[in-house]
Amino acid sequence: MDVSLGELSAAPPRDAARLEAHPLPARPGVRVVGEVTLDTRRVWREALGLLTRQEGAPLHMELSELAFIDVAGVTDLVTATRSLSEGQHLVVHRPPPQLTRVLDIFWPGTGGIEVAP
Amino acid sequence: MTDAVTTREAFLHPALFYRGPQQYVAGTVPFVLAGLAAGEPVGVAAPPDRLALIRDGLGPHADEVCFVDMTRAGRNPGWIIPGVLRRFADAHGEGRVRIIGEPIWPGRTTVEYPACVQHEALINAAFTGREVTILCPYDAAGLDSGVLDDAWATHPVVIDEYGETPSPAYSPEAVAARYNEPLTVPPGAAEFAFDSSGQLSRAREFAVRHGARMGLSVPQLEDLALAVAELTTNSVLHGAGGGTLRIWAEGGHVVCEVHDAGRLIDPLAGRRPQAPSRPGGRGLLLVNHVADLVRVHTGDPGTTIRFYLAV
Repeated sequence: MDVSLGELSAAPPRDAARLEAHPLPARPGVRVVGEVTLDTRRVWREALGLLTRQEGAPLHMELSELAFIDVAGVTDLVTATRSLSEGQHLVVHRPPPQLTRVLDIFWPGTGGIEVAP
Repeated sequence: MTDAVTTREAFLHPALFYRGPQQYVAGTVPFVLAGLAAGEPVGVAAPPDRLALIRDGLGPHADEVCFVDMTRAGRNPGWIIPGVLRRFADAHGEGRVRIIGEPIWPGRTTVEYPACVQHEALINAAFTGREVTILCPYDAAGLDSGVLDDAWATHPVVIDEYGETPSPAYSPEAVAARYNEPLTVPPGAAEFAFDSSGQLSRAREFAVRHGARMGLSVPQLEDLALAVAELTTNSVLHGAGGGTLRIWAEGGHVVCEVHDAGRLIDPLAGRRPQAPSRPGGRGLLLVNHVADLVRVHTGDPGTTIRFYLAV
């Protein structure tokens, strides 16, 4: 199956947070740019949905340009990871500090998400 | 001491009024030993000097008990139910669980105290029907008589040197409502009004900018950003679509609050641990976890949730 991850982006009102997701060129996964908040939740969920349907293991998320993620955004990430098939897992690269903080508080030792600094 | 476990209620929540270390040990150590003898998991959350008294009194049995420094884990009373009491009780699924929880001690400030009473009142709702015993010691020699009066209202039973007395004043909802006090804002607080048109990022950045100016560390600023995001999101979703963020420095803390026109109807909001698979319900829980203190007022003018971070 060849799922192509198109360019996703939120069309925000003035002042609103932005979020864009781009496919990674060399491996299965996405690069996410912007921030995950109430205003960008729809794009975040779409990006996660497309990500988790990609083939190849593991899946990668490049998050060095993600400035912020709220608790609901991390919850979406955990939920998406739980839907992964046996043997699949997700590597998040250079996440914002809030992502690891929220994982540590609510999902300590969660399998399926590997954090790469 | 009468063993409260022989009564019929599933959840037991006696207060223990003690005067001095001897009465403390007499009121707590047999309670712990009775639990261990019955095969119950036993946890003790109290200030460190009190933990030491119980540990010494238990001797070798101390190894069978889980000890928690309440002045750290329970510094924010809003975190005690999810982070201390239910964390322990939920970890032991089958059979009765026995806990000593001492959330109020001389030295709790007047700013903390209303949150302490509300916590004690809400324990009853949080554990109704569960096979749990929570004994709450009160330093009757060191605390004001008004504190003991409140303990009669938040506990169905009070134990002292003379025995066990059903409380004629037990009335947890009324006492929680009495401490639902309006929160005043000092002059000079920085203020940012937000609405649903996508200003959550700017509200967060506003708080972080002021928090940095007032001396919060980088990890604290990250927690501040998270807490502000959760509260402002709640206001947009549940609180009439927007609200007002305020932040100021006060008594060695950065104080931040979000006010909106909504009304908080669930008294246990932010105090229920969520199963890992549950999709939501962690916003206020997060605020309770990261803050050194959370105060809440809800009523006709709306809802204010105020949290403190120690500088």
